[in-house]
Amino acid sequence: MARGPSARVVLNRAAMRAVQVAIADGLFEVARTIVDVADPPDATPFGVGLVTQGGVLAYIGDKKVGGWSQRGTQPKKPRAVKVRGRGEIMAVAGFGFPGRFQETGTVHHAAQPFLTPAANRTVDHAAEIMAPIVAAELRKAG
Amino acid sequence: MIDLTGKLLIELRDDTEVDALVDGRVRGFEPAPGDVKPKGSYQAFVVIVALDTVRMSRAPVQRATYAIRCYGATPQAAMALYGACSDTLHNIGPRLHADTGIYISFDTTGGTAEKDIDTGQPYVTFIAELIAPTQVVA
Repeated sequence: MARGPSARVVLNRAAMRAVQVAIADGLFEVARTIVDVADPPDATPFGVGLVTQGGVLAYIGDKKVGGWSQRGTQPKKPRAVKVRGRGEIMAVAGFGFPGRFQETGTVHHAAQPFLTPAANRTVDHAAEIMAPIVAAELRKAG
Repeated sequence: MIDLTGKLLIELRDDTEVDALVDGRVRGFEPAPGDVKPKGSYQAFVVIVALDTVRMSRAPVQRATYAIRCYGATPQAAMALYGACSDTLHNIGPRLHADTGIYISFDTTGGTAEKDIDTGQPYVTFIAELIAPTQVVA
């Protein structure tokens, strides 16, 4: 049976929020590393940068807490990404048009996957990427 | 190292529900000549594309990721074909193809409806992940 905290436990709710933000920042850095590591097949100068527009978004629940793109502007949330207000922490990494068609191919263009390999290479090191960021944030939060 | 593309192709092609929709047109990497028709005479087919194959460092196991594009004559037909392909692969446990094993496979993304940018043919893409040995297991 679930029990509430005992009288000896004092919940530090402010710190819980800091933990969420720290994890979101760590995930954001993992997603940013995926975009940095990815090598789009028509990167400049060949395709004049069609698929050089990588971007990253981070959310806690339905609140955006981070955004970055290679162009320097804030990326728009893709329609397929569903954010929910239940405190879930999520980071999204991706490339703009026509990245999807490069990744999975079309009827006249063979697929040239670049994002999935980058994601798989990076996710294996997610803990190493996140650890210093999360630790620094938690130290700040006390 | 075992390439699972052929095994995946056979599983989809041999599924009766998928075969009823595509009549054997399940392809690896690119459509076969004659699969792609102009607007008004679209036909259903499936293209399997290997996205990445991650090999475990300490075990003879691979985690292979595939994009599967399900083309239909209409958006509804493409979605029906996606459903049939997803049912064939999602959460299906250990099986053997001759001496090659697949431990489990998943539809990890669900389907995304799109139109081909060249022909306008509707299709649905999903990502399938397979966990399988890298060695012969028989």
